[in-house]
Amino acid sequence: MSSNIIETRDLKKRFGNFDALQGMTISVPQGAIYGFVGPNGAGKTTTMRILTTLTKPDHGTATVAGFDVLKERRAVRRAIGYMPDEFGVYEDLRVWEYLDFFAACYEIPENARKTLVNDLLELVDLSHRREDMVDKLSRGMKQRLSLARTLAHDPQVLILDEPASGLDPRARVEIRELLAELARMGKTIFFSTHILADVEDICTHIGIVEAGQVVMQGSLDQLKAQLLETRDIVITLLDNQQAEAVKTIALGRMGVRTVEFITPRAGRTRLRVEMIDTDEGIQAFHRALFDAEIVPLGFQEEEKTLETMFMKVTRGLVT
Amino acid sequence: MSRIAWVSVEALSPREAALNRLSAVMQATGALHAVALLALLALGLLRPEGGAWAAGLASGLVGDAPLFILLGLSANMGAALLLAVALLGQENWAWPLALGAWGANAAALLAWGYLPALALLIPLSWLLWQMWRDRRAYHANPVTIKELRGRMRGARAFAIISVFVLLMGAFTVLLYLITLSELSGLSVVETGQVGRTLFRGVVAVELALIVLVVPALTAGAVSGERERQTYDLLTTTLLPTPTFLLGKMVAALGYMALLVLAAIPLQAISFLFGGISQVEVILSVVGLMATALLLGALGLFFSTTTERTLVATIRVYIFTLALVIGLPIASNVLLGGAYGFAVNGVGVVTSDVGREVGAIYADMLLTSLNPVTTALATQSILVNQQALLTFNVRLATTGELLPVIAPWALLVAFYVAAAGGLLLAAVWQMRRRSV
Repeated sequence: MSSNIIETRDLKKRFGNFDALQGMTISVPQGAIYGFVGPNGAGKTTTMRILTTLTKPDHGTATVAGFDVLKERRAVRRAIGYMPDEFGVYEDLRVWEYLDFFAACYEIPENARKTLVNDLLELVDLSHRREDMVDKLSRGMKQRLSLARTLAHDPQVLILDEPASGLDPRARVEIRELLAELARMGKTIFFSTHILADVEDICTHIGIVEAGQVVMQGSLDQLKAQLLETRDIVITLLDNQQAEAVKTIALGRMGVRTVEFITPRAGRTRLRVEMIDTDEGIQAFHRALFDAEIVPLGFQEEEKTLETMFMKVTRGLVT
Repeated sequence: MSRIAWVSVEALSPREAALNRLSAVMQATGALHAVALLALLALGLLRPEGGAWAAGLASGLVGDAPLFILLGLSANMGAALLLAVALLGQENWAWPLALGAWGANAAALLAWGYLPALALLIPLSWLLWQMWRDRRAYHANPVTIKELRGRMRGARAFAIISVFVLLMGAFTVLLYLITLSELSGLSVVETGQVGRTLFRGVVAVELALIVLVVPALTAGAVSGERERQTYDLLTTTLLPTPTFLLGKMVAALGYMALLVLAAIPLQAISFLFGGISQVEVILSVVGLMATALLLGALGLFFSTTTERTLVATIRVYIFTLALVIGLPIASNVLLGGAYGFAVNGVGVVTSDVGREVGAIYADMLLTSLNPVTTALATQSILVNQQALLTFNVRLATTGELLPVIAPWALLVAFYVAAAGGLLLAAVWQMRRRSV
């Protein structure tokens, strides 16, 4: 197969009357940090459960690290570290005992476990809490401990379900840094989220899902390039009359795709002009307004974010 | 097709697959013993005159060899099945279990020429060799360690044992005072009576505790992990299913064993009054442990049949009730307590020898399936017959002597075998559900 470490083809899964997955096809390249973005109920968790051999798809195939999730489950389990969205607590264990237990579950011999546990705690910066009870940790620390657990058997792929959900801003940044660090160590990270800021900061790849299907997928650079094809100019004007005039001028120009009124700010009318043009073309458009004796209060190119892209490709099908 | 298979092979490591084969050999050995046991019983009991060897036993022609064979088959069946589970779980205690069974059978073969021992010795010798070849497979169970670390930490475990021993102590004192006031009117007081009453009371409370607590301890083993949302975590690790189940089992029983051991000094108070020997104390502990083993396995089996702890708990208590209360009532209705009467030297009302022998043996087996009747019968045997394993009862019809087995030995063998079978069924059930 190709260099894709996770590959699914046309996954379908039905729970009762609810179609959780309707042909989910994703590919995650080796070494990527892949952000799996979508609204709640879009099928992110179901996809992850299939990839971690916990759920059987009704239809379709999936491979992780070259192993089939249905036919070679054991090899798949060895290759992945999985963190579900709920933190599984053994409230009566100490931090090091928790890691020691899971390391033992991965058949790591007893004499190797002590150093391993210490290294893992060092990595997630929890060495000082080694002897504390697990349920005494803050949510951010639990999440870091969870991450340490997924690393116990040195897997190639980390599958993380909402690693940053419910964390305070500081803990979120810490997790984010940790993920970046793990990616530098050569792990492929496949994580789901609905926080776009996370994706923008650390992801190399992104897949946007809605209603059990991928609506857009690829490397972040690719997607941004696609997105940057058109440019948005927001023009602030004194009143509606001027705005109508600007609209007529804009629609008369080459390269302008749409013109729409957007929410007024401080009583000023605002227009968004979506156009494909060079910098010189935008200057010419600006000058054309002055030629028509309209002086805009503001003429500004809007920076495009993932959020705008996200809103564009999803249709809000899932409530 | 792969869904019907015992377990889909792709989820097993080469070592697990190899252990599966070793376990299958021990399961087959256990099944062989069970078939032999049933054949022996059928031979002995089915015919109306009491069967061939039962009639022979009654006439003193055969001696008690068939009884020892019956006992040996039951014990080896239990050992084989328990070993089959221990192998699957890669437990380090598979070693002492296998070596102990090997040693006991070799000794029986050499000392008494007990040939049926070969049925276990041959597969067991092969097994020990195989175990030695992959000796790294057997290690301390991580689930047991985790459970015990959680359960025994801090003041809670200590407090529970202390309160338990205190309550048991108070109960013993109360029992002593009651017994004393009952005896105070009599001119001759037999202190052995006091000792036996106290001992019986303590054992009864311990048995009640085991019957009430042990099923609940293991009924939540699987569903509890689901409710804590750690079940998925464990499923995605390489932890073998049998290791998980046995880890839960051993941890629950270890805790129970601690409580039983902690109460031994209270049982031993009876020594002050006499009427009780060390043998009885040891037998009571062995019997209680076997009961805990069976009920624990029962709870574990039911916890693999459902996802909800409550359902599993209800199911296991229904079975426990049937075993502890329903069975003695049923056997009493069907057989009229023939075995107990015979032990106490009272005959059954029948004129047919064969029928009497049949009733005594059938009741002996049913008595051995229930901890309460077993405890009562064992004590009266120890007191009236001074016998540990086998002894003779006098038939009411002909006045001849009939050899019978003490029920505790059968109970331990049956319970161990049933526990082994239930644990295997639990492993099968859980692997099947995870496919």
